[in-house]
Amino acid sequence: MSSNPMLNKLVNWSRIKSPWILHFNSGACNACDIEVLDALTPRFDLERFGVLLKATPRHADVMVACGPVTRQVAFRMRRIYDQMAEPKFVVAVGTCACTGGVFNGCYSVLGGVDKILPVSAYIPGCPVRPEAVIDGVVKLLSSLKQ
Amino acid sequence: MNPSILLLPPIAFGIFLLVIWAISWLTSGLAAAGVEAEGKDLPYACGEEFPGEKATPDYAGFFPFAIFFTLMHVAGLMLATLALAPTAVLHLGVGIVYLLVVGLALAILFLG
Repeated sequence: MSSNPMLNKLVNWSRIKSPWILHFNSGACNACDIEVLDALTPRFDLERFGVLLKATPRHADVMVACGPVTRQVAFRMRRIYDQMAEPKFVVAVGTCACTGGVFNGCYSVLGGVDKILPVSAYIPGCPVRPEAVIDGVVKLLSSLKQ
Repeated sequence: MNPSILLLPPIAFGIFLLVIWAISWLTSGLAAAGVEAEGKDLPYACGEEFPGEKATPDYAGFFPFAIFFTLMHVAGLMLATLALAPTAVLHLGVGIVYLLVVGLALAILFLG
């Protein structure tokens, strides 16, 4: 970051206005995935906040993770998170991503996303509604302003 | 000084190189410092290991179709621009000959 506060303000404003996301299924049943995609469609239009779905972690600022973290996917999830550019954030979408949900304690499941990665926002729901995804993203962006 | 000298390729290249270098120097200070991590610089393969292998692009299978489309496009252009007046019998003959030549070329391409 620069020592110039005005410049920092400009950079922060730019980041908040273009949070590009990477959608990651860490073991979800696909219900939350469908709702996340629904939130990105013109009906709910998450893109009005500058949110764009990207296909590579190199271009993403926010990882949108759905589902409990399985033992199979934990290493891959960590690697993908490492490959994202700084500063980066993680949003846990759905009850399973928040806590492990009904899969918590299962032999193949580690738990919620925060067992592996630092989570910035939790959006509970089974599945989450697109309005909840939008609300969570807006709250995350609001927190970045401070 | 003649201003058009700025458009000379080596000079224009040098100017743009300086501009890009200046933009890079000014903005790199704004980027957040990255954290070193295992696998950070590896190719993105959904978090999987991606073993590198040599690959030689081969366009041999693509080449006949590229020529095919070129021939058909040129033939279409030639036929579309031929005179359509009833008296232009000569043009009609040229068109038929052209179609025969294109047909022969395609036969050589795919059958020969």
